[in-house]
Amino acid sequence: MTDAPKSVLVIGGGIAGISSALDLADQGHDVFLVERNPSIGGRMAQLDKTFPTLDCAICILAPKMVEVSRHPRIHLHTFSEVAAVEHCQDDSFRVTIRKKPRYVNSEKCTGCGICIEVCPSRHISDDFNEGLGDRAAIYITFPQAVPRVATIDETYCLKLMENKCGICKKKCPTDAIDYKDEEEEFIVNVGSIIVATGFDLYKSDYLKRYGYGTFRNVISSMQYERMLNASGPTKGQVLRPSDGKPPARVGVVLCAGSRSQWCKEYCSKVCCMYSTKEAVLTKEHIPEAEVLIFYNDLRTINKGHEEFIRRSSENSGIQFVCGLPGDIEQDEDESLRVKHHDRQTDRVLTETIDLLVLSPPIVPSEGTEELARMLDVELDQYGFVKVGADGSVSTTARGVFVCGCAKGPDDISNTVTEATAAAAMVAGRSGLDSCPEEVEKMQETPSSETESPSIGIYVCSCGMNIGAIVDVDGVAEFAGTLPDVVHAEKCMYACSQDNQRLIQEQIKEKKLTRVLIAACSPRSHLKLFQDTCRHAGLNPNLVGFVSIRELDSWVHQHEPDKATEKAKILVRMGTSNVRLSKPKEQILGSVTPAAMVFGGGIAGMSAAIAIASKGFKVYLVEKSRDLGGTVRDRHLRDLDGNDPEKLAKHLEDLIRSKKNIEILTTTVPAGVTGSVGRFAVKLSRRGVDFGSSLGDSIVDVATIVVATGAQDLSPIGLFGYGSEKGVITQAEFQKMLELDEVNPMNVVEILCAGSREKDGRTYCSQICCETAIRDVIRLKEKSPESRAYVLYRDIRTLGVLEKYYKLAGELGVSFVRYGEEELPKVDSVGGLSVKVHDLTSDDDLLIRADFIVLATPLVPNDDNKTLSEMLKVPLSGDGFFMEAHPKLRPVDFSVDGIFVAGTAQGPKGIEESIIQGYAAGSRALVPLMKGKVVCEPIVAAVDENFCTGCARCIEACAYGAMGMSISEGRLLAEVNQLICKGCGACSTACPCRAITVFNFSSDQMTAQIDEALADIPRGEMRGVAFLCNWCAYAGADNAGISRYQYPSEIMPIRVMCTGRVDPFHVLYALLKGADGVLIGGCHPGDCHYITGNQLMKVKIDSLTEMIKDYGFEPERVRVVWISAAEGKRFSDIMRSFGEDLRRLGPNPARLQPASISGPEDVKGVV
Amino acid sequence: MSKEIETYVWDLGKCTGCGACTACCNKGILFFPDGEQHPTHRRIAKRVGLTTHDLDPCFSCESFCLEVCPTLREWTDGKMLTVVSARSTMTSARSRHGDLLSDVLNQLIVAALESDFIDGAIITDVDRWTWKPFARVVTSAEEIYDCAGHQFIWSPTLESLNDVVHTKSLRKIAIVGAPCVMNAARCIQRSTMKGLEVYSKSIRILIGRFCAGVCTHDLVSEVIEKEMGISPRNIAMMDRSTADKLLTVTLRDGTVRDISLASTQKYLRKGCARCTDYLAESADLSIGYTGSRYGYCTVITRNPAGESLLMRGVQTGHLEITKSVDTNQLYLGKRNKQRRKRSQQFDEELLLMLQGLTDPAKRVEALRRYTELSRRQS
Repeated sequence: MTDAPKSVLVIGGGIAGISSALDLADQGHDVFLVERNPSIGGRMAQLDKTFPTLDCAICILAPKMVEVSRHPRIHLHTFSEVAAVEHCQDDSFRVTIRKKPRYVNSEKCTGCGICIEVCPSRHISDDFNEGLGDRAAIYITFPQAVPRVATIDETYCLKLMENKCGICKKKCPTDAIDYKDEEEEFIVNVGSIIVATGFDLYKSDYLKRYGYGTFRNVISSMQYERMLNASGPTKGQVLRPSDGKPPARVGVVLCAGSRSQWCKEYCSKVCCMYSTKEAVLTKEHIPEAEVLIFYNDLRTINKGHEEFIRRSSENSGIQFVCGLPGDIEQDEDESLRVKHHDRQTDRVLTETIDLLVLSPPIVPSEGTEELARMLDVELDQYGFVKVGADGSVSTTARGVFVCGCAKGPDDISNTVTEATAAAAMVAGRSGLDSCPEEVEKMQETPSSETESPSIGIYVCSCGMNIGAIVDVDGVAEFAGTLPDVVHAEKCMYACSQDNQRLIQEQIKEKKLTRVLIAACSPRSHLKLFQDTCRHAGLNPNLVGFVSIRELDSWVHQHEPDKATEKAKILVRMGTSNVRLSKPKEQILGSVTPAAMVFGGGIAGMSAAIAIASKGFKVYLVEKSRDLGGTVRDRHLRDLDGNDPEKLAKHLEDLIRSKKNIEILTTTVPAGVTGSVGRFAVKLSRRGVDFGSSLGDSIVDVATIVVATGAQDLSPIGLFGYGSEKGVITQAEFQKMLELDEVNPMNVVEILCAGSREKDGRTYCSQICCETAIRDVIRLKEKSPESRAYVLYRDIRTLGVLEKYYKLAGELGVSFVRYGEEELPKVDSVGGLSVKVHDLTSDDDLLIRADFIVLATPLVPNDDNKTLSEMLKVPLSGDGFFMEAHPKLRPVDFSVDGIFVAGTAQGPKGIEESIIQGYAAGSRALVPLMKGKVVCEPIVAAVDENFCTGCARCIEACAYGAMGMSISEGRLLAEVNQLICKGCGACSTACPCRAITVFNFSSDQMTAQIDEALADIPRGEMRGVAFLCNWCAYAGADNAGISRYQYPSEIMPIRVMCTGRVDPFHVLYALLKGADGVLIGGCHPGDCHYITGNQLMKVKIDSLTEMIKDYGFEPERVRVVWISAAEGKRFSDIMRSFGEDLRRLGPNPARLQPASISGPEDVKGVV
Repeated sequence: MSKEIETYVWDLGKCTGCGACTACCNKGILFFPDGEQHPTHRRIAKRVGLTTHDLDPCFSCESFCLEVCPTLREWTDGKMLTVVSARSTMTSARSRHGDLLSDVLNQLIVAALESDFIDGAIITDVDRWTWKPFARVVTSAEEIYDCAGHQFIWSPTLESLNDVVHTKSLRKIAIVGAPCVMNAARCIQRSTMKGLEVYSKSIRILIGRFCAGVCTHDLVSEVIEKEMGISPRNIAMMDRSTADKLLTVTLRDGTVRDISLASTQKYLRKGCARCTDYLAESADLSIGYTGSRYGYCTVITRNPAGESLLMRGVQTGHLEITKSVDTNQLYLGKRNKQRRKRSQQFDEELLLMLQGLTDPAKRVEALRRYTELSRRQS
C-alpha cells in the first residue's frame, strides 16, 4: 500500500490526533487515524467554549475535522480500535486494526437522520451528552460529526437483539442499513505510532463524598459543559436536573479528587481555567445568577489566563472562595448545603447552592494500559504514558510518540503543540528525503472558459430530506428555463458515486462550462463537487453551490410551497452567480529549500534540529556569542536528576553535528522582505561588543522560526534588592546551592516578586513556583538544618509537579500565603527579616532570614518590538509575541511562514520550550516538504485602469498583503497573492472600487441581489442576508441540522468575510426593493480574517446614519454576530428581523415603482 | 449642524485636513486630536446640581463648517491666463540644495509685501528638529527667509487664520498651500455669511502648489527616520519627484538619499485618495516643478490678481521668467490625478443612491449609474 517507514499510525481522533495527522499528512506522510468512537472530535467537540478567548469550541474544531476527512493522505478509521501491534525487524510496526460493525454502510449513508427519527428504541443515555440527554439506538453523535454517518448501537437495537423492528432499514432512502455488518480486521504497516488517546474524567467512588451520583443536582464539569452548549441536551439553558429550573446559585468545586492523597495525587491542570470559563458563561446565560468557585490554589499559568481570572473576579456575580468544601447535604427541594471554611472569619460557613459542579481529576482514558502493553511503552505512576528521557514527546519505546492528555493532564494549546512536535519527531525518523512528487497530484487540470457559458444544474432531492418538502422536479424544471442553462436535472443523491460519474460524463458530453449544485451545504460538500468537476476538466472555480437543505427544506418544513419558491430563487441566484464566475488556477509560489531560526536557545535549537533532520538548510541566528540561551545560566537540576545545562549541551552537540545547520552567532536580523517560501532576511553581524558592524548579508529562506527567548526581570528596588545585602534572585541562590558545602541558613523565598501585578506585569511567569520549590528541596537535602519559608499567593505546581510541592511540605518547608493587597515587607534593622501577613492563619509573621530569594518573572526581550515590526507579526499586550490562535495554532503567527517557539511567546518551562521548538520546526517544515506554496485562488485583484495609488487598501489589509508598485510611471496597488486571504476588506476600502475579490466580484454580488429580489409577489416580504462563511453561514447550517424553523423570506448570500460587504451592495439591495438587509458575521474578536467584521461594522454604522438622514428606515439594515454553534440564535434572529420588517411594512421603493425607464436599464451588471 | 460634516466628510474619509472648519467654527469646538486625520468636537458638559449633562455643542450654530468645507462643493477646472517658467534672481542657502520652488515662492511674497500688496502670508513651515509641520504667519522678508521651506507633510494650514485676523490683525493676506487649502480659502472668500466676513475680506491672494497628495508626519518618523536611518534634524529638504517616483531627502551636509515613492504612499492622507486637483485649479496663481526644465519652476496665473502678483515679482527684479513650459507634462500630471475622479463619482453615487431610497426618479438613475460605475473594463 505505502512504503512502511513513511506511514504513521495515529491512535485517537481528538484534537491531538487530528493535529498530528494533519501536520504529518501535509508533510507528505500517509496517516492512518484510528478513533474508537463513531466520530472524530474527541473531548473538544463536547466543549461549549474554550478559555481564555471564549471561542466556540466546535466552530474552530469542525473545519479541522472536515479537513481530516478530505485529506488525500489521511486514512480515517472511525469506530475502530487497535487490536494488536507487532514490532518488525526493520523497526516498523504491523498493526491490526479492528473495525467495529456500524450496521450502516458509510458509503451510502448521507447523514440525513431519518432513521434516527423513526427508531423506536429511544431513551438511551447519551454518552456524548454525558448522560444528560437521550438518544436512539441508531444515532449520529453530534451535528458536526465526521464522518456524518449513522451508527446502530447493537446493545439496544431491537432488530439486532430480538430481530423485531427493522423500521430504519425500511425508511432509509439510500438503503444504507446493513444488519449483517460484521467486525472486520485488517493490517497496516507503519513506521511510527503516535498515541493520542486523551483522557476520561474520573467518575468513581471518591466523588460520592460530594454527592455525585446520589444527589441529582451535583454534576460533573463535562456535564455542565454540555448543558451550556447551544446544541446540548438543554439547548444551552442552564437548568437543575432535579426540577428543570434555572439555578440562582451555582457552586463549582475545584480539585474534586485531584491533589488528594486519597484519590489522585497530581493536579489536573485545566480545571481552574475551565471552571472560571464556565462561571463566566453561566453569568451570560443567567445574568442574575451567583457563582461560587471553591478553590485551593488558582493555577492559571499560561498566556492570558491570569488576566482572564482577574477579569472574571471583577464580575460581581462570581466569587472565588478559598477553601474546599467539606460536608455536602441535600435539602428537601434538592438544593445543596455546602460547608466550607471561611478564611476571613475563620469559621465554618454553610452555603446553599442550587447546582453543584465538580471538577474531577483527569485520568488516562480507558484501555490505556492495554494499549501500552501492546505498544510496549511504560506508564508513569498515575497511569499516563511515560515520556522518554529527552523530556519531550517520545516514549520509552522506539518509534512510538505521545501527545496530549495521554501523557498527563494538559490544555488544548499544549496538546496541539505536542501533537505538532510529535509530527516533527516522526518526520525526523523517516530520514532525509523531501517529497514534492506527491504534491503534484494536487495540481489543477486545465480550465475551460468560453465566451457564452453553458450551465448545467443538478438539483438534489437528498432522498426525502429535500424532496419531501421542496418540489424538486419543479425546481429542476424551472432551472432549465433560466438563461444559458443547457442542462438541468433532479438527482436522488447528488453526492452519490454514480451521480458524480454522471456529472462528469455530462460535462464532457454537453460541454458544460459551468455547474451549479443545489443540495446540502457548500461548507461541507462544495469541495467534493469541485473535485469531481476538476476530474472532468472543469476548473473548480466554475462550480457553484446553493444550499436548499440546511437553508431551505430543513428550516421551512411546514411551508412546502414557500420552501419550493425559495429553492427556485436560490437556484436563480446561484445561476447568475456561477454565470459570472471565472476560472483560475491555484496560486503557486516557489520555495527556497532553507529555513531560518532566530535564537539559539533550547527552543531555537530544537526547531533547527527538527528542520535539519529532514535535510534542509537551516540558518541558526543567535545574537550572543554562544548557543544555549538563558538555560545556560540556570542551575536548576530537577529532582529526577535531569540537568538543563547538560540538556542544552546535548542539543548544541546535536546541532554542531549536523552539517546543514549554519550557526551564525553575534548576528541579528536587520530587515525582512518577501513572503512564505521566499523570505529574504538581511542579517547584520556585529562585533562581540555589539558596537561595530562586521557587515551585512542577505539570506533567502522559506520559513522563519522566532525563538528569541525572554530575559530575567532586573529586580532592582523590589523588596530591597540592590540595597539590602542578602536579598538575592533565584539564579544567585542556585549558584550558592551549587557549592559543595552549604551552611545551615534561614531562607525566605518570595514568589510573584514583580509578577501577577494589578497593572503592569499582570501575567504569571509560570516557572517560578516550580523553581522555588526545587531550590528549597535542594537546600533541605544539602543542609537539613536549614529552614526554608516560601511566601506565595498560589502554589502553581501543575500536573505531576504537584509531587514536589508535597515533598517540600514533607521536608518541613513552611508555606505562607500572602495576599495581593498586603505584600511582604523586608526589613534590615537588626538583621534581615520579612514581615508578612499569613492569610491562612490570619496572623502577622516576622521571619528572620539569612537570605531572601526573589522569584522574579521572565520579561519580554527589549528588541521584541523591533523584530515584530520587521516581521509584521503582532505582540500581545505584555510584550511577548502573539500566536495566531491560542488554542489551535499555538506556534503559528497570523503571517504565513513565520512561527514562534519558547519563551519569546510567553514564560514557560524547559520541557515546554523544547516541545514548542519541535512543534515550530514541524510547522516550518510543511512548505519545505511540499516544495511549493499552494494558495486558494480566492484573492483580491487590482484593476489597473482604476487604481490611483492612494494606498487606502494597504491600511485596510490586516495581513500586509497589499503593497505599491510603480508601473509605467504610475503608482499602483499590488496584491501579494501568497499572503492575501481573500477577505475583501481592501475592496470596500478602495475609494475607486478598483479592487475586487476573485469570484466574489461586485457583479456577482449585485447579480445575486437582482435575482433574490426579482418578482416579489404583492403583499409578501423579501430581504437579503450577507452571511460570512465561517460563522453566520455555519450558524445557518447549524439551524438547518437542528431543524430550527424560521420564515423563508430572507435570501442568503454567502461571502467569505463580511469585510467584503460594501455599503453600496446594501444600498443596491434596498433600491432594488429589499425590505431588509441583514449582515451576519463572526462575533467581535472571532473574525477569521482578523478585523474584517469590525471594518464592516464601522462602514455599515456610518451608512445607517446616512440612511436615517435621508428619511429612510435605518432599521431595515441590521448587523448581527452569529457563531457556528448558534443555530437557535440564527433562527431567532431571522424570525425577529422578519417580524420587525413586517412591522415596518414593505420597502417604499417597491410601492413607488420607478416607471421612468424600462426594467432592462436596471437589470444589473451582466 | 456639524453632525453632517461628521457623517458626510469625516466618516467617509473625505476630510482634506485644510483646517478651515476648525478656524471658522464660531463656537471654537472643533479641533484636531493627536494622530487623527480629521477634526472632532470637544465635549461640552454642564453641571446642574449633582449631575453632568452633555450639551449639543452645535446647538444654534450657523454651521460655518459646512459653509467652508471644500469637500462638499463641486470644483471646476480653473483658467490658465499665463504659463511661464520662473526662477529667483537671488540664490539662497536652500536653493543650493535644490529648493528652487521655495525661492520663487518667497520672492513672490517678498515682492508683494514690499509693494504693500499684502501685509502677511500664511505658509507651511516645519520644525527643524522634528520636521513637524505647522502653519506659520509671516509679515516680513526676514521671517520668510527664516522658513525651512515648502514641503508636503500635512498640517492644517488654515487653522492659523484666527491668529492672522484676530491676533495679528492683518487684513491683506496671502495663503500658500495645497489645492485643498486653496479650495477651502475660496469657500471662505466667496461666502456671504456675516460671521465669516472678517476672514473673507482679509484673504487677498491664493497661491497654490501643485500637489500629488500630502503625507502625515508618520512619513518622517517611519520611513525617513526608521527605514532610511536619517535623523530629522539632519534633513535640509525633502522633495517628491512625481516623474521619477522617488522621495529624495537632502541632508544638511549635501548628501542626497532617495527611496521609492511606493513605500511612502501608505502615509498619504486619507482625504487625498479623493482629490483630483493637481494644478491647484482654484488658486489665483499655481506653482510647481512640473513642466519646467531644471532650475526653473512653472507658474500658472489664473486671473488678473495672480497675473499682477507675478508681474510685480518680475518688475521688482525678484524673479525672472521664460515662456518655455512643457504643457504636456502639466496635462499628464493633471490627468493622472484626475483618475481619482472615479472616487468622487462613487461618493456622488452614494448620495444619489441615498436620495433614491425615497425618490423613485432618482432611484432609477442611481441604479443605472451604479451599474455603469461598477462594470469592470478589464
